[in-house]
Amino acid sequence: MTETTTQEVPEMAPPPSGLFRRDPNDPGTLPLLLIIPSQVLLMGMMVFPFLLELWISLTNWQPTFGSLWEAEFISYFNYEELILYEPRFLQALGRTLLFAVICLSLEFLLGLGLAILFLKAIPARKLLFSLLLSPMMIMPVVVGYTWFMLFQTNGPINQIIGWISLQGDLPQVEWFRHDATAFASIVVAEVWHWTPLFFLVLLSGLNAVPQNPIRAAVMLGAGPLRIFWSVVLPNLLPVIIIAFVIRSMEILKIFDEIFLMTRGGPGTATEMVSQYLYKLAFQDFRLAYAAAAAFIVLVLTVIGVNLMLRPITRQILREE
Amino acid sequence: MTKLQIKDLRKTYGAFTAVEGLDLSIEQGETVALLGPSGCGKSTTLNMIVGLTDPSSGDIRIDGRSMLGVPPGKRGIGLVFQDYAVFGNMTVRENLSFGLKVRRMTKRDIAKEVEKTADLMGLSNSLDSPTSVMGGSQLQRVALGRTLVTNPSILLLDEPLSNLEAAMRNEMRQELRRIQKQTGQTVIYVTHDQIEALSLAHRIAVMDRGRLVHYGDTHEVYHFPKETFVGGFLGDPPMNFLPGTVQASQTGHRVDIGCATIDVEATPLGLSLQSGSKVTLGVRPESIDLLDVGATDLGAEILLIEQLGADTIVTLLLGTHELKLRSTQNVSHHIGDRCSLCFHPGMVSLFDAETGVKLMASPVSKEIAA
Amino acid sequence: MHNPKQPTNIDQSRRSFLKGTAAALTGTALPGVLYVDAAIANTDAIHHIANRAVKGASALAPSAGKKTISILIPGGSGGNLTPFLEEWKTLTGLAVDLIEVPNTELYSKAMQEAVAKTGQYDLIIGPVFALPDFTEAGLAKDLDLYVERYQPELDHGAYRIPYPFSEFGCKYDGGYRALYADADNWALYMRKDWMEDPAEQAAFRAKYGRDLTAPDTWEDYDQLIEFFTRPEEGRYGSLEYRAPFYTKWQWMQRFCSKGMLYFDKDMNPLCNSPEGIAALEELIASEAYLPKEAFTNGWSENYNQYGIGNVFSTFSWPSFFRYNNDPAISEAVAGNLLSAPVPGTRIDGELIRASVNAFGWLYVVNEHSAIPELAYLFAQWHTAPDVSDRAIPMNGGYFDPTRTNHFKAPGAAMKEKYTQAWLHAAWDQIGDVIPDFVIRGTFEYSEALDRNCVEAVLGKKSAEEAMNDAAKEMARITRRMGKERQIQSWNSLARTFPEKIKARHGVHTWT
Repeated sequence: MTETTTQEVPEMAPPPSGLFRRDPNDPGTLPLLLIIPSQVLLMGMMVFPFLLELWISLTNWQPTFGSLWEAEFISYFNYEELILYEPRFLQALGRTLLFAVICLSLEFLLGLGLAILFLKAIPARKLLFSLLLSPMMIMPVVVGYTWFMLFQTNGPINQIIGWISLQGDLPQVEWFRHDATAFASIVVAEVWHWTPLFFLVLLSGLNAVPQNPIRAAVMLGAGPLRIFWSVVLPNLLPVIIIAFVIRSMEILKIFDEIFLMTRGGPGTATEMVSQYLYKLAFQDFRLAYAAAAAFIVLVLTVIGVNLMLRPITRQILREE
Repeated sequence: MTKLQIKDLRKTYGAFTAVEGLDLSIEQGETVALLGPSGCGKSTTLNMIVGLTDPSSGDIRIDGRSMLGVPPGKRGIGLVFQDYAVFGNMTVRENLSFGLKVRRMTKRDIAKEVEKTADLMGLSNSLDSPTSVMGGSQLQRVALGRTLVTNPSILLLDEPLSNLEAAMRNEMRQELRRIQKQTGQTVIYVTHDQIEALSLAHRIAVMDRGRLVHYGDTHEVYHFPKETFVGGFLGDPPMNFLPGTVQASQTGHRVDIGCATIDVEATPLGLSLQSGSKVTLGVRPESIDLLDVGATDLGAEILLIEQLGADTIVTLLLGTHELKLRSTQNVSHHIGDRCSLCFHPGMVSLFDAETGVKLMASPVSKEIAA
Repeated sequence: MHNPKQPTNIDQSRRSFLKGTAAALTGTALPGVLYVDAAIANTDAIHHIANRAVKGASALAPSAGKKTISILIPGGSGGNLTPFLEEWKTLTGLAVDLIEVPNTELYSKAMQEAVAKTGQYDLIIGPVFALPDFTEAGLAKDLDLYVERYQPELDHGAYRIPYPFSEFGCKYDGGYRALYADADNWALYMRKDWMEDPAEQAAFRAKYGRDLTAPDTWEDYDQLIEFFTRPEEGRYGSLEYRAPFYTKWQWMQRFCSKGMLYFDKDMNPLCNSPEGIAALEELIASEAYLPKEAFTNGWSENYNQYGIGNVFSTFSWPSFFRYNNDPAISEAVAGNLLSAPVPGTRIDGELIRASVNAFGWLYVVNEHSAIPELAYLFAQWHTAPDVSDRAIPMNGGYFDPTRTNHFKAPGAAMKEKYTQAWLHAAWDQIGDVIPDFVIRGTFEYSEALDRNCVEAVLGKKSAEEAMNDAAKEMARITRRMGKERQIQSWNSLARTFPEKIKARHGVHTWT
């Protein structure tokens, strides 16, 4: 057959439909058919477990009460219990929030300071760079154990305090015995562990800040602080926000360090949401109740993350 | 009155010399273009003038005062960047206010100055627009306004038109001229674009490989370049160069270019031309006339005729050399025709063949004859 | 139980420092004045239980769908098992696969299996307090049929697992659910060399007007740890646990020795009784005699710190003795370690001691296993009197003496690892053993109690507040779990408490 005749076919035959549609501007149903399997998979992987969790959270299921299918439907009881009658949950939530705010602020400030330092030529820059990044490559378990040892009453940190206090007037702190010091100790571990991430993100962010607006500000006579605040920071904002979002979701999951250092103690003074959920789900095996708590956390996280992303959502989605 | 004086300015980076022994002075209210290809040292010079780079040696004086050690913000120099460097997170008003806020002016004064400048820049209607959504020429206005509002004594514009679309360039060029006229501002353009330089500046400083090779008014720089480099860099098509040998004659000098000899008047620049010395003869395309076919049968052959609207560019083969000729008249010749040529009187330049440095200007015209 | 009239063969040196407790021992009809009973080790009968298991397994193996028995074990317990797998394979042709998980995660892994029902483990080695949860979650298979068929002689015969281990370590709700593999009650460990130092003895007598001997009562004990606390020398009286998760056990011992049970008949918590508050106040008061590390030490830190040799006493598990009595591990302590019964309280002329069974591992057959009977048979074989007598002394394991013959007719390895003296002391204390919260929801009750104890110890709450809070929380847990079911379960656990304690609450009249 010649080309001419093949081209004539559409004219002679009725226009083929469905899969064999030839009109290049009409995608037909094929793309849809191609998309469906992945959509089904997505539904199976995300929506189904989500709905299952929601349903479980409305029952009283825990394995020691029998199987899931025998579990009693108790409506919003778990939620009511968590919000109204279980102060421990809300306390853990509040504590996690406080912990996140403190840690992220410190990590941000320290990371920023280090990043700015690294913009300048400092001696042994490459070596220091690798060293500074190394904490975040260490497993949380190891970090937790290391700081557990460092904060021992007869451990190195107290030893250093001993050296600093000339007349021995600084007390040996029993870090894990008091609410505030226990909390401070996990803040230190967490900040030590994750400042490198902020450092890395901010350093690459700083390097990506266009130089000319900074020069322009210099030319206009602005001092370093004003330049940083008005020119550099707005440019870093998306990076900072994304770092904050990622880190706050991570911090919500902080577990190993606390498990090893304080076990949430003294009492519940360092118990975060993840510890509390772990206790509910993997010690008490109150799976339905844990599901309800997790669901509340999920909703709050979604709201929180969206609020944090709000200033840059338009930018990320490339909407004008 | 000398506004800016640069004395023996040098900048080296290790073994590399970016700027070498630069001397330049600019008068109050003058518009000067710093022109050169990329890598010629003009950006380094600009950075040294504004204070973003410290010179290795030499001095920069503004109103007679040395600027060495004076921070960029205190030199009274405004700089507009090639990419405008507008603060993208701010509105137009915030951009314009920035330099004034730094100067701790009162809110009322700031508002007044900003309104005034916005008016000058044609930004009055978009003062509260975010700059993140603005296009090239608008951003240019914002950048310019942001600088002008601080009332700089010298305004530097780094490649002000190169980021604009062709259509916008013309408009902006006019704008720049208008603003310069209105404000009487001393302006330095830094550019690699000769058109920009020729159209905007009173004087042009051409730089090459870190040296200032020619500093003069636009006419001089264009027609009587001090080096082959300048002649070759300016003009489109650039100056034609023909290698030749000097022959002493009674009337002056003749230059033998192989297929012909050309009379050049002896107006030596403190040196006399030795017979037999090698020179380069330079002539602008628009300084060549095409004579009628057959006036003499020794001459050039037409290789190509390009009609460019008002102008016609003719490519000729003279002996073994290609020449380009620009004519504003209709060319009646055809490709392949042989023709005679005439170099305009006084528009031929002679350069040392080795150094490319100008030897003398020749006011003599010579028909190329057999 | 023992005949108390038979002569004892305690060696003279031990007798000298046990003098203090002698009155208590004779006066309170504790089991076991007769100690060694070599006869039971030298008869064929010792092999019968293992042989029945091997025979049963060999008969079933050919038709079994699966020839490998998978066991979920806590990390660090492999030492008791690995050397025996080849032997079992030779005997029965069945392979054994050990799946190790960190010991803190074992409970979670097992409960996940209860939910997932994969049958991927045939046997699970779990902590004794988890047995009710394992059973309620449908994970621990009902073993009545197998026990009937293969006669592991758990609670009778010469090789029986002594009561109450045979009860809460093997049964739940009256039925067999596990094979107990690791008796784990605490004893008091003290520095023999410090006690035998004549200068110390004289100083002690001068200060307290009595001999420096192992304590009968908590008051005696508190004097001892006060006496040996010399912070200026870096010496402390005790390394009692004050860390989360462990503190409750210290409280339980003091509390139950006051003749108390965790709950009354209707499962109302008794921790906020005057006795409960007093027990907690005693814990708070003894802080001065503890090094600061006691507030963070878990068991392994505790073992190691005691091994350094600057602390007089601690309460601990059998493995503590084995560990620190090894000169390769602790030069300072090895050979100088004295084990004594946990101190008690004298009530109405009666000395009541309470040694908490603060862990202990047992074999549970997975309900969802494809080869439950073979799995059971391996467990029976491995916990049989003769095999376990060889398995327990192995290094790198968790198991401690459990069956009667381990204590009374130990094999050479057993004797070497635990010493005759220790085995004797341990046997003597079995009558004082109190169970942990071996009821459904064990972690919830434990955590509520422990957290409140710790908060009081740390001064965040008064003892009374802490105990009231704990009581409130525990009552709430019970309500949510279903009170009736919990009461039933508690009533059978209460029966495993020492007679003297039970009698005070009339447990025998509970229905």
